[in-house]
Amino acid sequence: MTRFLHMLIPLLHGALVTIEVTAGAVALCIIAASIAALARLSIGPVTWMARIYIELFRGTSAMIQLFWVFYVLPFFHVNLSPMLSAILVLGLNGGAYGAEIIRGAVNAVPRGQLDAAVALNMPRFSRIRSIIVPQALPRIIPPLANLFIDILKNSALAGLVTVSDLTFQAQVQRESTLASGEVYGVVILMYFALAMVISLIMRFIERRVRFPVGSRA
Amino acid sequence: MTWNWTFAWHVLPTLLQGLVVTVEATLAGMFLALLIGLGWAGMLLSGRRMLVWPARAIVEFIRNTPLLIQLFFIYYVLPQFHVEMSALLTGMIALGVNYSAYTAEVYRAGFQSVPRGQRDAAVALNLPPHRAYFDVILPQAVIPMIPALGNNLVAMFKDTPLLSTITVGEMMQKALVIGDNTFRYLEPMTMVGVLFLVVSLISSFGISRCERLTRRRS
Amino acid sequence: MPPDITPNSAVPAIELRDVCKRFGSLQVLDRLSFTVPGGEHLFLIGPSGSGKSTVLRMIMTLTRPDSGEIWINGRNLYPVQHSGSSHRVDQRHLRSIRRDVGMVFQHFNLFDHMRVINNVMEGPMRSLGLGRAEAEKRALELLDRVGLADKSRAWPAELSGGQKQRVAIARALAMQPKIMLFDEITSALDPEIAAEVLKLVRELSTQFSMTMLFVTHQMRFARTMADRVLFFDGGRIIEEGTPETVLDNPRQKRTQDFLASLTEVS
Repeated sequence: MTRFLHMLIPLLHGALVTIEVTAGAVALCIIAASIAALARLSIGPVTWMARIYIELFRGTSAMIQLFWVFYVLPFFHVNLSPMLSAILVLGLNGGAYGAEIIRGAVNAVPRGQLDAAVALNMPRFSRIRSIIVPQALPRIIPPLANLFIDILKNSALAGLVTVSDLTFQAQVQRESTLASGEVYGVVILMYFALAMVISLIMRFIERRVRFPVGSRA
Repeated sequence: MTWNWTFAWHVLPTLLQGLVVTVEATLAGMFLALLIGLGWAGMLLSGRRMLVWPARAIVEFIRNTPLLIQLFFIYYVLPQFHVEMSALLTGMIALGVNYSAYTAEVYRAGFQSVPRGQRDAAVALNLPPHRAYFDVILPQAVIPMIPALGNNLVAMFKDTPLLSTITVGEMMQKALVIGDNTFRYLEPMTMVGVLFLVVSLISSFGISRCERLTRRRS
Repeated sequence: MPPDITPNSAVPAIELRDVCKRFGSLQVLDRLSFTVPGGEHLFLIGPSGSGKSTVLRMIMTLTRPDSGEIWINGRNLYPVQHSGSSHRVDQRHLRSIRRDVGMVFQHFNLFDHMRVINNVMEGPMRSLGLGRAEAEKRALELLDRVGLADKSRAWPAELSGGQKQRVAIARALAMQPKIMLFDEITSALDPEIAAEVLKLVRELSTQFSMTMLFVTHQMRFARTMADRVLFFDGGRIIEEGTPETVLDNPRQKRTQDFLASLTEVS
């Protein structure tokens, strides 16, 4: 039992770091996704810049991006801390997927809703703030919940570049205790629990932004 | 530090060897995922609580935990139960089990996308059940699955670098070894990234074409 | 209640000059010109795809003409700009003209994420700058006028089609427009419900003196409401006049055929 406790405490420390990395990446993801989606929805060169960003990050995996930042960037004298590298890569990686989620939801707002806003002579900013955003949000939240869980799962990669997160602590404990079964059993349950927390928070938010939709003629 | 083409050309054959392993792992993993996923989907669609609930729990658990930890679990824990496998085989199994949760969802969505009226029409024509299934339901269920499974295949391909963490000699592992030996990570790492980018962009383009084709049929 | 607006007869409420519009290879409007004096009840009829709805959408600035001019109360919607990029629309200019125009749509287009009362308050608050209390007072009066005071807290999804259209009418009236556009407002409704909505519109038309444009297939309604009827076919007006002349004694073969097909259906 004491052996188990000795193992549990460093793992809990690791879980805290995992939460930090995930929270930082989720925040960056929301910002990057919003900017990229806005750029994709407008016209001009910004659309192309957004497309390149989205395709670049979706075309390779978070692991490749993280390793590139970790191993290659120092050669260009860009030295980011492992923690910052992880948050940056996971946030920008998630942002590329998030941008497409937001773009899809905005495009799915029925044309008639915008027609009505124009017919009421609403200024452009009001149309976005009080028609497009509230109508798109219920469509954005559920896929965003999955995206945030993906970020949590990808945060395990941070352990591979020496961030002392849950995955990293698991490696340490496995090597010192040799009780792989217990260590990885506990760790996988911790990840699952964290994912459920994200899921619950997002479901709560979804309930707040939802509105009844009948058949849309 | 600038890009060195001579060095890049020099390490390319090694990376391509790694690419072969990457492709092998992806194909074997996908084969397993298709097979195991069929099992989950069968349980999910069986309508029997004793089968639905365990399948749902397993699928949810797989989807909500990191592939990397699943991989470590299989790699480090199974040998304790005297199940000895090569690293590559372990990797293939981890990929297969992980993606089975996603293929199960594709199967389920495919079958549920067939409109109720199609079954009704088959009954109205008094088709025998196996005819109704193979001539009416199955062909309509499979078509929307194809692009979705294609997306899973590409996603799995992009996840194979994880196998480098358990010493599988795929592309990422080769790049890391080259980097460790020569202290030049720029070329091998960038080339791995570009190779992945090229393959996934081409496949994504193919899949979206395929998606448009299959949508036109319905 | 909105004050009665005395139409200025010197300047036409609406004037279209040589308006053309293509959608791909389809010529929707072909050098279309007509004038609507203030206070007129004008009916646009004709087969579907003849460009009637496009005309209303253009007056509402929802669709831009490829060429030609549209004048609302003596002001050009898209004046030729002499500076730089001429294709960029001056939003402020459009907003100042659009203030006088309201529209009711075939599919209601109520804001699904707002309760009924907020649907009616939204326009006055966001574009007229009314305070919440004042907007709410106006909205409640109008909802009462269309017979839906008890539904003010309902969601659009909880209303029937007829109720939705009544709310949409109240929402448009809340902006106190001088020009109202009715785009097939009963096409998505059952016949009995449609009749009730038209009865409401008729009552409102006597109460608020507005210029009204209707696109409709309800000929009985047109006969009793219209000051003038334009018959559209292939993006042009092929016949125009009082309802008696166009609907009862059409000269064009195309008009006769269309009116005959309508009676067959009903």
